[in-house]
Amino acid sequence: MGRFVKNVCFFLLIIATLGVATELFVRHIPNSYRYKDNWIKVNGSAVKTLVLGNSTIDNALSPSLLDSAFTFANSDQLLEYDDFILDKYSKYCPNLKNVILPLDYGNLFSEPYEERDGYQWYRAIYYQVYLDYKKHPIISKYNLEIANPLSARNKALQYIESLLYNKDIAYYCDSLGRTTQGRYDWKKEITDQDVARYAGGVVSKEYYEYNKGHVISIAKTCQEKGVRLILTTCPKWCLCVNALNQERIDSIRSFASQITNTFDNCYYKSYLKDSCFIYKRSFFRDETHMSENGCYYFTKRLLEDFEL
Amino acid sequence: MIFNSLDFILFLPIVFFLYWFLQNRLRSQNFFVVIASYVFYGWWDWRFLILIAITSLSSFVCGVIMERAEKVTERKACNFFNIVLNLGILATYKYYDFFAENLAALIKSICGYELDWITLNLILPVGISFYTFQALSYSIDVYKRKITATKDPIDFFAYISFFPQLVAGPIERATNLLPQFQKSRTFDYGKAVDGLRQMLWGFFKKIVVADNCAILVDATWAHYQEQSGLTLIIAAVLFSFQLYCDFSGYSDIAIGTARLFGINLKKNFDFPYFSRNISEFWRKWHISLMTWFRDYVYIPLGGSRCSKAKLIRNIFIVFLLSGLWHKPNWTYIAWGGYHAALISILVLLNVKTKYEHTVAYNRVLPTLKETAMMLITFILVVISRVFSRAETIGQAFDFIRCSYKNIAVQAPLFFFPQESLPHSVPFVIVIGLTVLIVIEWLQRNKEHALDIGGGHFYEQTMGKVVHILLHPNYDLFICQR
Repeated sequence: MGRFVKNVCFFLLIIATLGVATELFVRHIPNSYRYKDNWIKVNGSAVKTLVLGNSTIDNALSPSLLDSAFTFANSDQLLEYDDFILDKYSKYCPNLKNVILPLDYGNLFSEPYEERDGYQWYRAIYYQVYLDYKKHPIISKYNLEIANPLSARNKALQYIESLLYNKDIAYYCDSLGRTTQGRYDWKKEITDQDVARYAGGVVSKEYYEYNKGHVISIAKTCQEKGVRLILTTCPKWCLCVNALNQERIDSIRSFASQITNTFDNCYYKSYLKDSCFIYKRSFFRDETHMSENGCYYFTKRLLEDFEL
Repeated sequence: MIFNSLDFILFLPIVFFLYWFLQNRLRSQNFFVVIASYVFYGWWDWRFLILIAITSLSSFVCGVIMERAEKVTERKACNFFNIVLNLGILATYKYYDFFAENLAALIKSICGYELDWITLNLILPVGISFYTFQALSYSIDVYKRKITATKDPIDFFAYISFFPQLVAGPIERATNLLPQFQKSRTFDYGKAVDGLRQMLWGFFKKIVVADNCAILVDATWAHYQEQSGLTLIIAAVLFSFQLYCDFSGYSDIAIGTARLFGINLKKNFDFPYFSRNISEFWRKWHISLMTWFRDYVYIPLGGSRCSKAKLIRNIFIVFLLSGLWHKPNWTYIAWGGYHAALISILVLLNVKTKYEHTVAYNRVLPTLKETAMMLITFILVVISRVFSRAETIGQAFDFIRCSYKNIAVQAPLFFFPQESLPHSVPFVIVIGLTVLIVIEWLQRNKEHALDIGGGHFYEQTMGKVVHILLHPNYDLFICQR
């Protein structure tokens, strides 16, 4: 038995060493979450407008065109994490005047990462590890990058690829927090299936109520700090708009109305069907995300509408 | 608790050390097995423990009564009661909603009357199909006087709830497992190391092959109508490997874990994708379940000792029940029917389906004929997997239709159903499948893929390598004569 335990411990030691080395390597890879965490702690006092939300707003809004703005939006970021980010980092932004948050077809109805199938829960790790979001206990898979081997492997391979071929690092951002990956991608043809994929899907009422709760919490935080909360629904390509579930759109609108009536620091404007955007193909790099061209005009529009 | 989780990684060493700490106290050791197994099972939901306790208790008590009963009618009644009770529990949790929904749909189509209220939406307890069958096999064997009923409830509860095989098999027979709990176990270094190797292989199959295949398979199935025919065929093949690696990987981990505790579980998968015909396939796939159906359904119905018509009837009954056992869904019933039909064809054509040895026995490579037979059998199995994967029979047929209808549509250069998927997945799958097939082929005559004999494997191998280096003219083939 002693010999068995000794040999197993030796074997496990090798595995553990490799595991630790891999974990450290993956954590060392530059990523936008750590960048934003560091940036805002150092430069937060200069921030007047903070952008939260997911890839929709990240593609649609350029903080460089606004006055003293920074984006803490991330791909597929859920409202729960927007709430956490505002709660944690607003204290580094004493001059904060505006928070921009999308009320979206995606984020209001999304399920938590932990309830997603397969490897799709990996984003929960980023908030836990890089932003110190203490949602899960220390001994949990959410504290280890290598606990999701697929995402860790992918990150590592893309980093090595960027070093070897002098490419941009994937999952990184520019100096004001906007994600660089995919920004200049262009989908040649937006098909009915692409649109149906985005528009379809069964929605759980439980998740809708859960996400609404976080928006209300964000609104309260903004009210306490005397900050304006600008809620917006970004434009989408016209084919996509036509395919969206009308009941869900009505839910978004009615909730936005409820929020703006309850909190006087909250404002809402929907650009979902704004004809200045939705019919111009050059404004959309795919069915839901705006291109750089579209981003420029949408940011200018927001600037005018809300005097940012 | 699942095997590939942090919880299990912490659970196993604690249980291992405490178990062997109690090595000289058999009853305490068995009692500890029961506690540990109930903790393992209750980790999902403690309420499930009530059901497994009921099954264990009823089977144990019935066993004791049957052992004491002298009249056949008493034994029959007791056995019947136990079967009805346990199958009743299984049927309620697993099959009630399926039949209720179908009945409601039927009534609605006939008279338009809505009967949605009759479904109960019960949560299916994990592993209920496995431990129920395990308990029933004990009860039936005691009734038939094949085994003596145990009078020790702790031994029996340990037999039913032994955690490595509790949630996904193998379905153990009392003749194999129960005696192992009734006698002392001593720690065996070789057995434990071999168990760890088997666990390692199981984890490799599950984490490297199955989980990566699942990503591509799920992405393809989500939008299968848009994919090329080649993509769909590849997805069907990958799903076959995913299912095999998931299921057999879990069995390997279970068997390997049991060996750490000095318990030998029966082999559940015998490299089934190297089968030369569908009949051989079913002797190598989920062996514990198929032998259960053979012994408790097929043989009592007459087995193969009856007319051909009855033989085929028996085959269909077994496979339809097997399909239903897997999942209460028409697709699985169709899957069972498909396999029954294939075996029936072999029976009707009097094709030789049993072989003395495994394929390519004493050879490294199979003959062309053997290769063709394995490929044909594999293709037939892959077709059935479409039914396993589909939500409805219509979807299964639609998938098959799309696979040849879209065959002319250009497939991506590197199989990639969706741009958002990580690029490394196909690469890992190719490497993983290559390693899987090569190692399992080379080890097809062994107990498991990493069964490399006694503890002197490394010394012998290193010895051979050193000898070859010191004697450059050494003829490698001499040692193989």
